[in-house]
Amino acid sequence: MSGIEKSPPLRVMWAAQGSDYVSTLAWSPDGARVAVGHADGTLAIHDALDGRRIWCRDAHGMGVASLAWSPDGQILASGGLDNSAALWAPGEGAELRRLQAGRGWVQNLAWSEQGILGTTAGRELRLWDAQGDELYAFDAAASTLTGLSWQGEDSLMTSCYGGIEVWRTGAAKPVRVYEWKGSLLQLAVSPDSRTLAASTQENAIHLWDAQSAEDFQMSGYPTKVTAMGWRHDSRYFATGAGASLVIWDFAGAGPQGTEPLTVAVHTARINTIAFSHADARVASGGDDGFLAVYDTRSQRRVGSQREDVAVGVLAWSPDDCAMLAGYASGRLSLLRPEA
Amino acid sequence: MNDTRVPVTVLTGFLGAGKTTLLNRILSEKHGLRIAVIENEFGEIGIDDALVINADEEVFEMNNGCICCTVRGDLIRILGNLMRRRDRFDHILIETTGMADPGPVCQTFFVDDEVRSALRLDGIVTVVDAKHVQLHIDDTDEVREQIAFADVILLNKADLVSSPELDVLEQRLHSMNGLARIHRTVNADIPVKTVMDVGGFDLSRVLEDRPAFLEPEYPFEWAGIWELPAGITELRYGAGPDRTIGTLLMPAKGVAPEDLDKVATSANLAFTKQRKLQPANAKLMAGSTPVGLRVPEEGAQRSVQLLISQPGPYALVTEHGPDEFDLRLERDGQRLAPLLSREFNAGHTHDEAVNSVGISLEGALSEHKLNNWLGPLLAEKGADIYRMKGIFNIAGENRRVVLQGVHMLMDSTADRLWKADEPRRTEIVFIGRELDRQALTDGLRACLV
Repeated sequence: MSGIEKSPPLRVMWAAQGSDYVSTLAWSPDGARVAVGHADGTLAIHDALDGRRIWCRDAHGMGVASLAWSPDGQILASGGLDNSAALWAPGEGAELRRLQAGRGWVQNLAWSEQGILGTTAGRELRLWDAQGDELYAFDAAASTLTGLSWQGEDSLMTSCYGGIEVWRTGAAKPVRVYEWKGSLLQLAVSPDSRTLAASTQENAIHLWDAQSAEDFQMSGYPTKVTAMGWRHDSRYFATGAGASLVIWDFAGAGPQGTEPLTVAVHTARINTIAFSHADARVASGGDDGFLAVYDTRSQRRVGSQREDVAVGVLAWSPDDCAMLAGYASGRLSLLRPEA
Repeated sequence: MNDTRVPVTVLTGFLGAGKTTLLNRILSEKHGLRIAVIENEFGEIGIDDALVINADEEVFEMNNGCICCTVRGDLIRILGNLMRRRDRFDHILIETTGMADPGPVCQTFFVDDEVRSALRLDGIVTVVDAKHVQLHIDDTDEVREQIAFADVILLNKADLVSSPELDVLEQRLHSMNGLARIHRTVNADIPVKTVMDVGGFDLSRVLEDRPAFLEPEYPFEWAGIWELPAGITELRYGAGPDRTIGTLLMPAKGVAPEDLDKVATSANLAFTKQRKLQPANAKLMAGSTPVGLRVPEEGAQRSVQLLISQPGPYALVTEHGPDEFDLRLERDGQRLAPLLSREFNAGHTHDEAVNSVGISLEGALSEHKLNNWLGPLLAEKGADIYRMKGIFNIAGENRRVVLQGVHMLMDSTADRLWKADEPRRTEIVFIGRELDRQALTDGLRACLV
């Protein structure tokens, strides 16, 4: 493995200072703007071209937990630690609707392709239309929902303690459960929907074959897995636990019985992992202030950047030309890897 | 080595004991601390600078190799989030629901790396309703667990209970948890520092309060020696904590402290024997069998005549201290004072299922032997060991090693250097269910280098 010094630096296109720890980021579908949620509850929209802040609102007391743009880019949804979700007009920042999403932090937001918004708040999963009218409230799950993913237009998956549940619109209770007696912390469904992956409290990831429900576990991590992500073609699945970046190869019969790629870049906990949308690059950021880009095709590090403050969250622009990094200090920077 | 982790205080206690009153007091007092409160019952809390977060108690079981424990999933999430803004908080308070077992909360601080790296469990404070706790203590596991886990116990509503009753209650709580500092309060009125800055482990403080803590347990609490003349001496007593109180009158060899030790050894055997109630109007002679003294109603008095055939030193050994039931010896209406007396550590006086064992040992321990003893001990007996706290003198280590444990989990850190003039002594306290003092002491002793 090449040394950290050898990888080319990432070019800082712009930097902006926000109010507090950047807890969540979302690019508008057209790539023109970025929405940024901070730990003090501030929600801001920045111009992706120059970083200029277009507007900023005190959106959620206690902190912003989740953000999602509607597929047409006309509405921005935010979820907070104040147990509410909100819909915003991205242009001028008008609050269109406040949604009572349930009792608990609104940790997950997801739009379906047709523009139906799913929210989780504590143990409750609810669906809303683009006007913010409630379409459906499912029965509360047994414990807090930690992940959410649409599967087509009429089906959603959630993770919680005890497994992954499949919900279908019109049925109050889950229609299918992928069981695992453990606490699932994050859900990552492969883009081809064939594999369900979840990080667990027990220093392992748990995986299911979506069709057969056959499950298996990848363990041996030094700590619990705190970040993960799939490559767009579902071939690679990257996980971060402590300072270890571990990438599993799902080609052939993998990953069972295979050795994962381990990338030694970080010296402290990895907080965020993001695969690019269309090529083979994966970016990771951690408490060490280090941000690295690794190419899973050439299996080489292709870019890195160091700040003296922890990287909280990362997101690639829709065209994969640049990535936005949010730091613990509230700083934002748009970084471009060398071509 | 300065611990910069943010301290966390866990507040437990039954509904109505005064937890919310204490919480309000902590939040309203001018202490200059920025506090985040995680509470489980939707209550009314006055807040100025504090952040209050409502949590759903989500307890789940974790299985990591051979260690199995329950943790609070909601706390892991909430604390993980609070740590992002940790520079804004000096202290975190976690309030548990009235019926909660404190185990999962505590274990959360041992199990999750993220939590452990940023936060330190400073202390567990249990608020007890002095008037009503008696109703629950015998048949409610949660009450006993809350008492067993505590670093600090507030005996609240102390104004509603008589002082002798409080004494008895306090003694009972101490027999369950020898480590806890007990404070009597009214309206949970106590300086914030007393509950928020519990800090490390200090066995010497425990010993100051209860000198007999490290001693083996005896089936009695007190023994005294008198010089008695031949003839009749009146033993008088009043109302007490139990309906009958076991008492043994036996001849002593002399009036030196070692004679009292011998008395204790003989009495230890004697108290295992079946005892009879002392009949009214019968005289009691010195022997080797204890009798049960029938205790009168509050305000009433009883007496027993002691018949002494040979003048000389005699010992009286009692299940409760003489102050507790106003026990005294009189002759011709004159009170006779004992020439010497001692209190004994009576762990099982109340047949307590929950007890604590303190061990103090000189000499360095082998780290290897210690691991080989503690590991299997916790794996086997962890369910019954609620808490463990200790300072170890490890061979080859110039610093004190501080150990904390909850059930099967433990965590050790090298603390400050031993001072030059300080005895390098290993001190450990176990609190749990039916702990075997002898086995624990032998086990630790076997770890000496």
